[in-house]
Amino acid sequence: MISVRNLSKTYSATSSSAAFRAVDQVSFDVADGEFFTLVGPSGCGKTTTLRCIAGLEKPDAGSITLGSTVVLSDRLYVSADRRDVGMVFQSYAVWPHMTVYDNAAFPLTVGRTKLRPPEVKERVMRTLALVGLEGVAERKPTQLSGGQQQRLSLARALVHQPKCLLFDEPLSNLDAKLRERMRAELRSIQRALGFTALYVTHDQIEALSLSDGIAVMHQGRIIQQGSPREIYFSPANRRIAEFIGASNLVSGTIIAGDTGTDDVAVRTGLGDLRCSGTGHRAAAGEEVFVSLRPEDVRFTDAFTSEVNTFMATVETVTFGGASTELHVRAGESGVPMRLQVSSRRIVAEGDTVMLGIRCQDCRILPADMDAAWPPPRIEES
Amino acid sequence: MTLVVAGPASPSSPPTLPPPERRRMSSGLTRSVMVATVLVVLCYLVLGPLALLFITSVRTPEFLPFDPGATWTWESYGTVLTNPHLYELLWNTLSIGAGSMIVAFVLSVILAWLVERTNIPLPNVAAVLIILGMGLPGFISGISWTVLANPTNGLLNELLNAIPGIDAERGPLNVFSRTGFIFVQGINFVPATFLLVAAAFRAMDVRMEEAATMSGAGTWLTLRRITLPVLAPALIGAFIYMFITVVESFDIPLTIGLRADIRVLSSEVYLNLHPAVGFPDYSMASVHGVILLIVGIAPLWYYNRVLKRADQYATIGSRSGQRKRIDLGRLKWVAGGFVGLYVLLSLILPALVMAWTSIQPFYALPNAESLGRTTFEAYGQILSSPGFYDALRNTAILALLAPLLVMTLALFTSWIVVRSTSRGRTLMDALAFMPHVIPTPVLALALLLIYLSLPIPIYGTVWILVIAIMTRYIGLSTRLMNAGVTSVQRELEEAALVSGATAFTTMRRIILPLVLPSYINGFVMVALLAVQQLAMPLILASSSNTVLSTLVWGRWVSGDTGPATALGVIVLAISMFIAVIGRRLGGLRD
Repeated sequence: MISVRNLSKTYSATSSSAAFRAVDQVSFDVADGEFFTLVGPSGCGKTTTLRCIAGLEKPDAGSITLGSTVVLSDRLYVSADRRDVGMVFQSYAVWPHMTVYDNAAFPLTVGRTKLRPPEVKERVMRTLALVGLEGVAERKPTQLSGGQQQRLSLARALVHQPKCLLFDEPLSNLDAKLRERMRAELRSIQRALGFTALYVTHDQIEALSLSDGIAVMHQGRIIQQGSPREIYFSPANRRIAEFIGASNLVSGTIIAGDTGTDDVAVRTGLGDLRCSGTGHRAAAGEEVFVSLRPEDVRFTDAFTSEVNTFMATVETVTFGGASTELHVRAGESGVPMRLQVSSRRIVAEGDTVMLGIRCQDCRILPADMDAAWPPPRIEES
Repeated sequence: MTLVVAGPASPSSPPTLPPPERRRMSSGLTRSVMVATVLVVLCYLVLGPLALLFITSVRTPEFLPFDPGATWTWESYGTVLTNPHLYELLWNTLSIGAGSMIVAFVLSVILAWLVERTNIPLPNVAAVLIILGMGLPGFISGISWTVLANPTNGLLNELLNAIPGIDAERGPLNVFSRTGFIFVQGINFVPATFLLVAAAFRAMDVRMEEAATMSGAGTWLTLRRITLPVLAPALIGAFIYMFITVVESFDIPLTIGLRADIRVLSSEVYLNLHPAVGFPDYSMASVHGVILLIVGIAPLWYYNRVLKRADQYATIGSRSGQRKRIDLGRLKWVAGGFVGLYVLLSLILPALVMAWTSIQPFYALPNAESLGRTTFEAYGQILSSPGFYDALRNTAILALLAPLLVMTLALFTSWIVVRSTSRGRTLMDALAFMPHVIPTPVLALALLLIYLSLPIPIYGTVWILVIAIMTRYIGLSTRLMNAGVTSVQRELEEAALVSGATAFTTMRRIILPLVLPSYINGFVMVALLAVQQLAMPLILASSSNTVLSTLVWGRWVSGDTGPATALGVIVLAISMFIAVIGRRLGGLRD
C-alpha cells in the first residue's frame, strides 16, 4: 500500500543552526491493511517522514507510492490536497469556528470529488457514529473534551474513506487512562474498516500494542524493522534495547564464542553467563553487552543448565500493585540491576536473594550502541 | 495627528518577524502565483515611488524627472546643502522633534505609571480617555490651540489677561513659538506613546518591585531606582522607534510652525511644492525628502544594529497575575486630578474650542453677549456647499475602500511571510515594512512624482490618495496580520490541505474566519488614520480629490474661521466615532 524508497530530507544550515539531516535514506513498505508504526525519540525523523508521505514536506530525494499511484519521484510531486490519504494530527487540528458536523464534512465539500448534500449528511453521520460523536454534531469543538476532539479529528480523516490513514502522535495530548482506551478503540476501528495505518509515536508501549509492524528510527535512519515481538525480544543493538522496553545491560567479554550454535559464554560482573547466540561471529575476547529484561529475572532456588543464576542484595523495593520493582546489586561485582517481580513474595531492603534468568533470555548485543548486527532469531516459548 | 501604533508586537522595538519555522508548507502552483502577485504589487507600491524620489533629486530643478529637457545634475543637492537655511531646518527638525518626544514621554510615563500602578480613581476610564485621544486629528489640535493661545486674541490669553496683575500686550501665552510648537506636538503624541509605555509597564515583572519593597524601599524610591531604570531600555527603544513619527509629523508644522516661521523638513517639502511664488520645485523637494528620509531612518538603523543586540528584554519577564496597586493615600485625588487635567487640556478643551468657534459669527470670548450671538450659519454654509459632499465622498472612499484593499493585501502578504520559505519571506516582509520608515510627506512626494511621470491617469484623482493610504499603512497592516496569522496553528491549515482543500479554499474557509478579529482591528485603525491624514491629501491635492482634512485646511488658511471650525467639528466627530468603534471592537490596544 505504502512504498517508500530512499527518502531523504536535509534542512540547510541557517545563521543560527547547522545543516541537519532529518531523514536519511529511509525505505520501508506497508502492506494493505497493515498497522505500521514509526517509533523513536524526538528528533529521529519519524514525523518528518510521515509529513513527506502526507505531502506537507517536500523531501530532497526518494520516491513514495500510495497504492498504485506514485506521489513522489524525481519527476513528480503530488501536492497534499491531491493525495488520497487522511491524517490525524497531534493537536487534533479541529477548526474552532465550525461545528463538529462541519468539521467532519469538510473533506467531502472540497477537492475534486464533491458529494451532494444528502450523501454528505449520510456519510458524515455514519462516520460520527463510528467514533461515538453522533450526539454532539451541532456543538463547537471548544465545547468538546480532548478525547472527543481527537475522535472528531479521526472522523474527519475517515469520512472520505481513504485507503490509508496517517497518525502523527495522536494520543500524546491525552491523559493516561484516556490514552489506553483510545488505543484500543483505534485498533478496533482500523481492524473493522481495514484501512492501512501509518502511525508515528515516541511511546514504545503504543508502538508495541498497536502495530503489526514497527520501524525503529534514530537520527533519520531506520535502525531496526520487524514485528513487535521481534523488536522486543531481539533488539539489534543497545540503543534499541534501551528504547523498547526496559533492559539491564551488563558489559562482558566473550569467553567462548561459537558461530552457529546458540550458546555463547560471556564473563560478566554477574559471573559467567551462558547466553543465546546472535548468529554473529562472536570471537573470544570480544567486548559485548548482555541484555537482561527486568521481567525475565526471577527468584530461583534451582541450579539447572538452562538457567543462569547469581546472588543479589536488595537495595530498594517499590510496590507497584501487580508487580514490584526491585533495585538490586547483583553478582560479586555488585552490578546494579532493575527487576520486575511478582508482588506475592515479600522482599525487604537488605535481603540477599538468589536470582535466575533463562539462558535463552540473555541476549548478546554489540558493544557499540548503534552497531548494526543482524537481529538474532527468536526463541519462542 | 500623524501617529503610529506599534501593534501587538513587542512595544519596545520595531516589530520583528516571527522566527522562521523549521517546517514549512510545501508549495503548489496556486501558491506560487499568489506569491508572485503579492511580490509584484508590493514592489510597485513601494520601490517604484522610492526610486523616483532618488531620481528626481538628481534631475534639473523645477522640472519633472522625465520632462523633456531635464538632465542629470547635482544642482539641487548643491543648492540645498550650501544654503545655511538647511542647517536651520535640520536643527529645528531635530530639536523640536526631541522636545516634543520628551514632552510626550514624560507625560506618558507619569500617566502610565498612575494608571497601571497606582490606585487613582477610575483607572480604566482614564486609560480609555487617554487612548481615545487618538481620535483627535493633529491638524484639528493645531487649529484649536491656535484659537486658544495665539498671542493676539487667544481665548486663554484673554482669560489670563483678565486676571489682575497679568496684562500683556502679546500673550502671555504664545503658541506661535518654539515652546508652543513643542507643547502642542508633544501632547498630540501622548496617546500613541502612552500605549507603548503602558504596555512596557504591564510587561515588567512585578516581582522586581516586590523585591524592592521587601528590601525596605518605599514607593518613590522603588519608582526612581527600580521601576524606571528597569524600564529604561524599553522606553529608549520606544523613543527611538517613535522618532520617525515625530520627524515626519506634518500637521503641527503646518498649522503652527508656518505661522511661527519655524520651518522643519516636513513642512519644507510642502513649501517646495506649493511656493508662495513661482513653480513647484520637484527636484529640491526631493532633496529635502531624501534628507528627511535619512534623518528618520538613521536612529532606527543605529537601534537595530547596536542597541537591540544589548537585549533589553530583561523587562519582558514572566507576567504575573495580580498586581497590587500602590496606595497613594490622599494624594490619589491629586493624581486623579492631574489625569483629568491632562484629558481636559488635550481632548476636551480643543473640542470645545472648535465647537465654540464654529457657532460664533466672529471671534469672541464666551460671555453673555457672545452666547446670544450663537448661530449655526457656518454649518449651514458647509452643508449646502457641493464641495463638502465631494470631500465627504472622497473621505468615505479613503475610510472604507483603502482599508479593505490594504488589509486584504496584508492578509495575503502575512500568510506568505509567516508560513513560507525563508528567503522570499524576509524580502517580502522588508518590502511591506519599508513604507513605514519613510516619512509621510516624503512618501506623498514620491507618489506624486511617479504618477506625474507614468502614463497612468490617476494623478489628481481620489485613487492616488487610496494608493497613498495603502502604501503608507501596509507596514502597520502586515504587523497586525502577522500576529493574527501566527496565532492560527499551522496544523489547522495542514488538516485542511490533507482533507483535499486547495490553498485558496484553505485561505477562504479556515484562515480568514480565524483572523477576522485582527483584520477588522486593522481595518478600523487604517480607517481612522486615513480620515486624520493631512500630509498626503495636501501634497497630492487637486481640485477633484479634496477630502475633509484638506477642506478644513483650505478654509482655515483662507480665513473662513467659522466654516473651517464647523468642518473641523464634523471631522472630529467622525474621527472619534471611528476611534470608539475601534475600541469597542477590541482594537486600539497595545
